[in-house]
Amino acid sequence: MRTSLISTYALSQAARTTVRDTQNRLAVAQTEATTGRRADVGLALGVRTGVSVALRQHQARLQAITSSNALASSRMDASQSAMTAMVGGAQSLVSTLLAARSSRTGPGDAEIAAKGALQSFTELLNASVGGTSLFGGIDSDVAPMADFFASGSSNGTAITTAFQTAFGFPPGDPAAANIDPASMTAFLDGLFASEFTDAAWQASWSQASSQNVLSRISTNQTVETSVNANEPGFRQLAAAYTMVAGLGASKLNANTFQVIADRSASLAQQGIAEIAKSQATLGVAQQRVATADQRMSLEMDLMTRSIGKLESVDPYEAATRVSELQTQLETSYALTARMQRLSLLDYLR
Amino acid sequence: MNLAASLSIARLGLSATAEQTTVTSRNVANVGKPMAARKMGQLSNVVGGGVRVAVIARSANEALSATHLDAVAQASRQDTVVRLLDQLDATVGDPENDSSPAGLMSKLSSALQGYAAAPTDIAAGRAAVAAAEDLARGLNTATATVQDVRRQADDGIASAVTSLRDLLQRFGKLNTEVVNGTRLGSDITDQLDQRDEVVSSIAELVGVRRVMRADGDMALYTDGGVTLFETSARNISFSTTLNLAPGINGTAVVIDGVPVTGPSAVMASHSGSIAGLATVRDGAAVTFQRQIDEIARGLIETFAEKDPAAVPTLPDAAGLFTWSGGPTVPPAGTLVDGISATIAVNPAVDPAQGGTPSKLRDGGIAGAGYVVNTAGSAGYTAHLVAFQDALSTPRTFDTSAAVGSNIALTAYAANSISWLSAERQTATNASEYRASVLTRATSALSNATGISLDDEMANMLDLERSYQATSKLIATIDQMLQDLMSAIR
Repeated sequence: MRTSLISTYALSQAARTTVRDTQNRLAVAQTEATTGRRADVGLALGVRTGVSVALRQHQARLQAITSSNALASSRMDASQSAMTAMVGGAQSLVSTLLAARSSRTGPGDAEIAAKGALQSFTELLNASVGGTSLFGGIDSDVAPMADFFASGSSNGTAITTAFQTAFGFPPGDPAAANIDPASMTAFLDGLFASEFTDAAWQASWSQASSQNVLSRISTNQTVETSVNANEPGFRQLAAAYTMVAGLGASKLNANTFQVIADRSASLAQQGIAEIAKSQATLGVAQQRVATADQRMSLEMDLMTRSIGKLESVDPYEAATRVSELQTQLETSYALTARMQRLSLLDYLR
Repeated sequence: MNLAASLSIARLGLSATAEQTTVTSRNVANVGKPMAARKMGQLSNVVGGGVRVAVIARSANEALSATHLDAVAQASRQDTVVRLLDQLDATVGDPENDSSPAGLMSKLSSALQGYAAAPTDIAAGRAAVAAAEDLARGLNTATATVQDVRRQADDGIASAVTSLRDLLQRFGKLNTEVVNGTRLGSDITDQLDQRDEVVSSIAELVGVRRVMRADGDMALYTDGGVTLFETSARNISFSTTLNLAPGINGTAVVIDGVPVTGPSAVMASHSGSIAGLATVRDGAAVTFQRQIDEIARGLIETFAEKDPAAVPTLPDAAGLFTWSGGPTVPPAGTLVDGISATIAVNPAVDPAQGGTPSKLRDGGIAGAGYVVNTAGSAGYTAHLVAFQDALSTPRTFDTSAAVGSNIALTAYAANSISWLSAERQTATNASEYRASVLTRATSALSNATGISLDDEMANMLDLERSYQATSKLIATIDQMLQDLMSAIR
C-alpha cells in the first residue's frame, strides 16, 4: 500500500529549481543595483519602449540644435562688435571733417583720415569667424568687400572711371583745383551716386549675397542670423569714405572740398542710423536664440527626468533586493545540503 | 494439512519474496530516472494455499500524465519563441546605445543639424554622409539578422521533423511489444516506461494527446487533432526553403496529409517546438522584416530629390539614400520586400566612392537638374533644414507591417521597437509561466507515480523480515521431517 505521496526525484528537483531561480533573479538585481537602470529595458517596458526611444530622439535633437545655436550666437556677437566699431570709425571721421572745413591743411588731413577709415571699414566688413565670413550672407566662403586701394580693384577702377568721365582727368590730378562746387555737386548726385546703387554695388564693390544665413534655432523656428554687406548702411558709409578718400580731395579748392565734406558728413550720419537699424534687427535674432536656448534646456531637463522615470530603478530598492536574494540563496544552499544528507540508509544498521 | 504442503507453501513464499525483492531493486535502480514509474509486485493466492506474484503493476495516473504532456509541449513552444525573439532583439539593443535604426536615424538628424550650422565646413558634410552610411549599414545588418533567424527556424523545423519520424518509429516498435506482451501476460512494465519516455520526447516537438485502446495499444494525435500514430506511424513531410528571403514564405509541416503550421492551417498545432519555430518564421520575423523594409523605404522617400523648377518636369529621384531599384523612388505607402538589404548611400555624395558631400547641401545628387542651390552659395542651409523637417513629417506606411500608417518616420522607427519589445515581454512572461506549470506538473506526476528511495528501503526491511521468517519456517519443517525420519529408522 502506498502511504507517501513524494518521490525522491521531486524532492531533489524542488531544491534545484529554487536555487536556479534565485540565482537568475540575483544576477538581474545585481546589474540593476550597479547601473541604476533596468537590466533589460525592452523586456521591462514592453510596449512603452518606443516612448523611451522617442524621448531620447527628441533629446538628441535638442542637443544638436543647442550646439548649433552656440555657433550662431558667437557669429552674431562678433557681427555686433564689428558693426559697433564701424559706427565708431564713422563718427570719428565726421568730427575730422567738421574740423577740416575750416583749416588750410584740412583737405589733406581729411583725405588721409578717410583713407585710414575706409581701410579699417573694409577689414571689419571682411571679418570672419571659423572660416565663415560674417557679412557675406549665404555666400559665406568669400570675403565680401573688395579692397579699394588694391591696384586694379573693381571698385577703385569704377570710381576712377566715373571721375574721369565727369571731369576728363583722373582723381589727384592738379587740374582738379579748377573744379567748381556746382559741377562737383552734379557729379556727386549723378555718376558717383549711381556707383552705389544695388546693381553697381554688387558688381564692383561687394561679393556678398543679399540673402542672410537661415538657421534653425529650435524645433519649430528658423531665423536669419546674419547681416549682409549689401545693406544700405554699409553702402552709405562706403560712399561717405570714398567721397573723401578716393576723389583726390587734397587737390581740390576749398569751396569744392567743403561740398564734399558736407555731403560726406551727412551720408555718414545716414549710414550710422541705418547700421543702428541693422544692429537692432540682429539684436532681435540674438534675443530669440537666447530664449530658444533657455526653453530647450528646460525641455532637455524634462526629457532626462521622463527617461529616468521610465528606465531607472530605485537604487535603494535594488540594493535591498540583492541582499534579500543573497540571504535566500544561502538558505536554499544550506537546506539542499541538509536534505541530501537525510536518508534512511544512514540508519539501517 | 501435511508437512509437504507447508514446505511447498513456504517455497512459494520464498520465491514470491525473491520476486518482490527484484521489483524493489529495479525501483531503486530507476530512482535517478526522472519519469520512471514505481513498480509493485501484486500478490495473489494460489489454489491450494500460498501466494505468488501474479502481476507486476506499474503506478500510473492518466490525468496527471496528460497534464504533464501538455505542460511539456507548451513550455517547449514558449522557450523556442523567446530564444528566437531575443535574437531579433539584437537588432535593437538597449535604447541608451543608439544602435537601433531609430537611434542611428537620430544621429543622422544631429549630423545634419551640425552641417546646417556650418555649411561651409567640408568636415561637417563628411560627418553627415558618414552618419547616413551608418544608418544604411545598420538597416542592412538588421535585415541579415532577421533572415538568419528565419533560416535558423527553418533548419530547426527540419531537424525536429527528422527527430519526430525517428521517435514515431521507436514508438511503433515499443507499442507492438506492449500489445504482444499484454496478450501473452508477460511483464511489459519496462516497455511501458520506455514508451512513455518516447511520448514525452514527442511532446517536446509537437503537442500530443494519447488515446488508450484495447490490449494496451496507444494511439497518438497532435493537439490540433491530426493523427500521428494509429497502428502505424503516419507520414510527415517538410522541405527547407533554400532561398528564404524577405517576401518568400517557408513551407508548412504536413502530417498525415494535413498541414499543421502556417496561417492557413485549419488543424494547426499550438504547442511543441515545431509550432514555436513556425510562429516566429512565418509571423513575428516576417512582420519585423516588413517594419525594417518600411523604414528603409521611408528614408529613401524622405531624402528623395524633387525637380526645383517652377513647373517640374523631372520625376522624383533617389537622393542621399538609394537602393537596388534606384534612382526611381519606390511608390508611397507600398511595401517593397527586401529593400532594406539594398539601401545604401548614393555614390554621388559619398567621398569614399568619389562623390561630393556638398551635394547634400546644394541638391543635385540625382543629377544637375535637381540642384536647389543654383547660386552655389556656400552658406545655403534651407535644403538641409528641409530634410530635418521631412524626418518629422507624417507619411503613409503599409499597414501590413502593423505599426502605424500615417506617422512620421522617426515615430515609425520608435513604434517598431515598441512592437518587438511588447512581443518579447509577452513571450518571456508566458515562458516563465509555462516553465513553472511544467515544474509543478512534473513534480505532481512524479509524486504520484515516482519512486521514493526511503519507501523502497522500508519495504526492503519488511521483505527481509518476511524472508527470515520463511527461512526459519523451512528450517523448522526440515527439522520436523528429520525427527520423523530418525524416529522411523
